[in-house]
Amino acid sequence: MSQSPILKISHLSKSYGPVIALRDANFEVLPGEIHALLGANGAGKSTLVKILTGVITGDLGVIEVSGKQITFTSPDNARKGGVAPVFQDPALIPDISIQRNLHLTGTDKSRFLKEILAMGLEVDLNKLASEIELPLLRMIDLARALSHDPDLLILDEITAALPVDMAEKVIAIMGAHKAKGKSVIFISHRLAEIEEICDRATVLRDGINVDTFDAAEGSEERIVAAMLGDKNLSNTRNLNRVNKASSEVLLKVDSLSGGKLLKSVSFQVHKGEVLGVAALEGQGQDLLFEILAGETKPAGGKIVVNGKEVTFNHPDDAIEIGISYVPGDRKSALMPQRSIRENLALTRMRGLRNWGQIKFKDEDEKVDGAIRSLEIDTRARSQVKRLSGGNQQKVTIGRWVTTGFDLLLCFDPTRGIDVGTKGQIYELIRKFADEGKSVLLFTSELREIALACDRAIVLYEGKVQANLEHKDCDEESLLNAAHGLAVKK
Amino acid sequence: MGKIKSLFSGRLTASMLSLWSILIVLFIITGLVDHYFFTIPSIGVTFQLAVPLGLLAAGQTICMLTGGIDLSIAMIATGAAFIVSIKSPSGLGMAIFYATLYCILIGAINGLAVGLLGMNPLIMTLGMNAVLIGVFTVGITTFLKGSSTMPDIIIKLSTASIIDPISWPLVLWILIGGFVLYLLKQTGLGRLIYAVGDNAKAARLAGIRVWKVQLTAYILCALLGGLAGLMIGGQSGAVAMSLADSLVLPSVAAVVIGGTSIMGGMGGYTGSIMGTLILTVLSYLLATLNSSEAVKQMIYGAIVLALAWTYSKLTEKS
Repeated sequence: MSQSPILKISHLSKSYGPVIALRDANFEVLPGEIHALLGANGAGKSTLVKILTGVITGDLGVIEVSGKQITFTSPDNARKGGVAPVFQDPALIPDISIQRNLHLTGTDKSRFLKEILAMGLEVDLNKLASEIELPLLRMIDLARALSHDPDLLILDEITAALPVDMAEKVIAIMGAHKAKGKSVIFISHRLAEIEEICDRATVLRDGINVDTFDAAEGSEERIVAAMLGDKNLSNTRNLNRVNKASSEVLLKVDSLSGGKLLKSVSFQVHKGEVLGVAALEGQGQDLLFEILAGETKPAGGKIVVNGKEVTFNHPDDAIEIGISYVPGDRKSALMPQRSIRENLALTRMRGLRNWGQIKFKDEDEKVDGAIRSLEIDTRARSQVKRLSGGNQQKVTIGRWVTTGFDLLLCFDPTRGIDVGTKGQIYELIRKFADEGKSVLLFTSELREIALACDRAIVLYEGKVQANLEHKDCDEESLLNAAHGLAVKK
Repeated sequence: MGKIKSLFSGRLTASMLSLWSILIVLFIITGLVDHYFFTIPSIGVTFQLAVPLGLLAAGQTICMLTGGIDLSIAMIATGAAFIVSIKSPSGLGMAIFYATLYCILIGAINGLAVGLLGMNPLIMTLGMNAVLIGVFTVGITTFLKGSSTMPDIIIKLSTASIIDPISWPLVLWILIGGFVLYLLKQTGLGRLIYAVGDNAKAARLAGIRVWKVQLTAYILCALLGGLAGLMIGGQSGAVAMSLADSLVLPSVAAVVIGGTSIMGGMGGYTGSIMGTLILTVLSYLLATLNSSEAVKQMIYGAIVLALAWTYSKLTEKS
């Protein structure tokens, strides 16, 4: 290709104290190209994006935009230079209206509305950002970036929090952006999306670009191999599929309802079973998990555990009878400034009787056990905020390993996590089931249902749309049911 | 032995090192300005004067680690001293009992308002302080009429030296300070205090009754405040409405200087002890330089603002 690149990065590096985030990153994006940027958690993707968009500055290296060497000093500066990002987390200020948020970034209102309209969405500009659900918020972020008509659009894991229908919209938008001769850097852990839309892919590992290639059909293996290096992934595909679940019912949920979304949900979880929950965004799954965890009270219906009806006034009540919750948002489960040890041992301090002298010997044993069985990387043990996303997720699950449980409620535990750690987490969930424990697992990636679950239910408009045995848990059936369609047998 | 060592967390972090340097530099400057400062009795008195602030800072540390603050601590201290001085004619035991009850009551109201009603701690405790000022202003002329001198035993415990530079208040501080360090580092409650301050929502999801932790923190803070009040009363011999007023800002400053995050979840009492000593030496220095109380308060305020700014810059970076 003789085109000159729109973006060229050479020998970029960045360290945070002793932690090297980027070692020697090189890559270029051509005009009219959708370029995937890939890598395991902690490979340096986010750091690279932050440097590109002026959030932080690199230590060494050169960035050239359209042949000119530049250093962006702020996101505003980058936007004016034709680089607009959509970050991993929503970049809207929650307590002010969308309109004022737009104003803050100097976004033209009518252009923004045009973009939103083109997406087939509607936004009330007077609403506070905090009143809007996450998926729509991500689309607003995207529309805002697009209304600056950037030469280079950077999408950092935008599809991670999106339901299938909206993810498809994002992919269509990228295609349209490309058709205008402009470029996109696309970061995603969903390999199928990469193959579908991207022209080329660059894989980062340990802060170095290890491979760049055409992202054609079937490049999945090459991507995974480059991401993992020597680590072998084969185990994620050959999960043991023998259903050893007992016929004994652990949890029975009967016409449970709550909030605006959850209408009437009934299902059972057996002992030693992993029950999958699939749904598009906003079908009441968040609330279902919060109610079962004792975080929110239901409006109606019954929860029966081991044959006894229960009501929860506090998450502690649920934990006390063996129901533990791993929330979808890791930030709401962790003490970011405290150590891995304190995070893991936290639930041991429940109840006044545990307020006294800590039993350090017992704690050592349990904490070390959890660290070992979850293979938590303890190099940054003093503060969990310094861990990678995958490691943080392991800590949130590990907490319940130290205390023990009968039923684990896992809400999208692999959101935004690299392939290797995903495999580990699913292996772990299978191991729980083999030990006779039960897991209720919601995941936004439908193909992971078949990978990890014994059975699955699909929620649609606050009700159970389908009850699927493992053999029927293929992506097509799940997707059909998730859209409210009958499952073809 | 290992346990005791871990209480003081043997690691000499960069921030601890800088606190030590500041203290030593201030100590030397003060000694150069006032040669008497370097004598053993003078060092004893300096320690002795540091104790009430050290106790207030202990309470404030506990509150601030949970993400709270207690601005009513001045009137908790003053109120406890008032109650002891007024009730002491009917026996020291009863006097202490009533004062303890008073501290627990005020601490519990603060704690419940913050923990269960979700009141902002700053507003809640500031309001509580105003209410208490009102109650005692009316009280000392009506239902709380009586002696305003402290009992001799309390005066002795607040001032008497055992062997210079070791005094009774210092011994008390070492005992109580040791207990606070133990509480924060070695007990389940200590872990919860940090956890609640770091992320209350996550603590709740982990099954922690957050309000109980906050309630306990405010009660402990009030008890420490009350004890400090008795000591200030003992050191000045008599009680007045403004007894502990001038120590509120320093009690916050000592904690912040010591590196405890205003947002909660980070820090500890070791830092606050250093902060207390630094402020006490600074106050001695300012007194030698003939600075007025107003100038002192200005300097304490400026320190808090400068540190708050520095920490916000630091957290922004990381």
